[in-house]
Amino acid sequence: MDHSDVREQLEAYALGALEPEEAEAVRDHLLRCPECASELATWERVTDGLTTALAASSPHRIHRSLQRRIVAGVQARPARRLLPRPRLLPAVAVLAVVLFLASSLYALSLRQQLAERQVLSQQSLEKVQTRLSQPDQYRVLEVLDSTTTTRRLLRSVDPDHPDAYGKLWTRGDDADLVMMVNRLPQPGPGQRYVLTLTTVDGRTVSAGQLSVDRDGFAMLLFAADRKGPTYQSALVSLDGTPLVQWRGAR
Amino acid sequence: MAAGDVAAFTQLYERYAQRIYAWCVHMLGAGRAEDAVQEIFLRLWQASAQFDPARGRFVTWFYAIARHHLMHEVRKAGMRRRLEVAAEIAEVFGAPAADPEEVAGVRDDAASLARALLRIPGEQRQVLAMAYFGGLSQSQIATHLAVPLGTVKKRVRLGMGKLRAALQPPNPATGVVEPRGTVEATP
Repeated sequence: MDHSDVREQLEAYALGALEPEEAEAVRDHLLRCPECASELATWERVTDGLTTALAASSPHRIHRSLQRRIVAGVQARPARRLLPRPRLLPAVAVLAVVLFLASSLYALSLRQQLAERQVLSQQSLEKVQTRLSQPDQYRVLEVLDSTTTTRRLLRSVDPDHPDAYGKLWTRGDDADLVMMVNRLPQPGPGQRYVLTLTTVDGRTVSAGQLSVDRDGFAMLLFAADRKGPTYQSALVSLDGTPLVQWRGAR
Repeated sequence: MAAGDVAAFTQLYERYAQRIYAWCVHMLGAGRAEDAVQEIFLRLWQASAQFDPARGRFVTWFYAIARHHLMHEVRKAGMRRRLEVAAEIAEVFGAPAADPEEVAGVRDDAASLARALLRIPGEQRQVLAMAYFGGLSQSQIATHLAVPLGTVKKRVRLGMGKLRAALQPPNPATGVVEPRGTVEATP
């Protein structure tokens, strides 16, 4: 691809509309052609402007409370720094740096995981508090916090909503069962999500309906007729269409 | 912000959050937009040391991060959803729900671009939205619209040319901005 060919492709390149091999050829040329690089910068002003123009034309406005959540989130995670190249350091010093970095990254990863768990726990707890009466909140926490609790993950079985999921908690010394689902699509008018459980002895139990909020989050507290875990499968469906499912080993 | 300055991050948030949010809502839906905004700003925070002003503008670099994340998410929903996203955004550009002049924080060039998007032919708006917001290549667009690849390339070139002209300052002699592209004669 020569200079004039690339020049004609720059609009499409800025839009991300070239085939991978064409984009690669343009990238190669840009490395050695300041004129085309400068021209590309002008086209990128246009593509950057598409996002700004969308915000200007759209009716959707961000909620102010999101800023607090996001700033708090980054404060819990130190920004990554660029590290000096160890090329000129003696091998031992390089090894020491690598070991130090590895241990630091591991510690950072543990901190991040902890921070994420705290945020998720806090969000779930807030939803529990707004949806359930105090006695029911107590029952939920009893199930979630017990050392005998078993947690099952319900994965999406709907290719249109691959990030939908659910979690099911039961405990061996209690009949209460807690179900939470998240990122489920909004149901249509008159449609209801239901949780269906299959016990280890093959009985099908309808555990009730789940009313999702705007995030697709819903929770259900179900009093089973026996202490758990006694189930071999759990399914959340919308008017008979399966959304998320867990199946135990047979 | 590369030094981990939360105050600088907050300033960037205040400047770009509304734009990123609107983008996320149109790409992923209102239910997932806030999580996506959070993820994008977190990525910005973590990658801030990689930004090199010598290689381009900050906004271009940041939008590349945002677009990469949004494309990754929307691709999971399949081609049909990508086409829906592009069609919805093209519709917003063709019939804006908000008056760009009245939206707080919108700069002059954004309002100019929004007006230019309103003026260009619908088929040019459509291919620009399919490419940038739907993540389709020109060949894929040609396939989906059942038109020759050359037609798609022409629409891209004309549409982009008119938007670029809208961002250029008026000719000081005439006070008029002359668009580079011409009106497309045939679809």
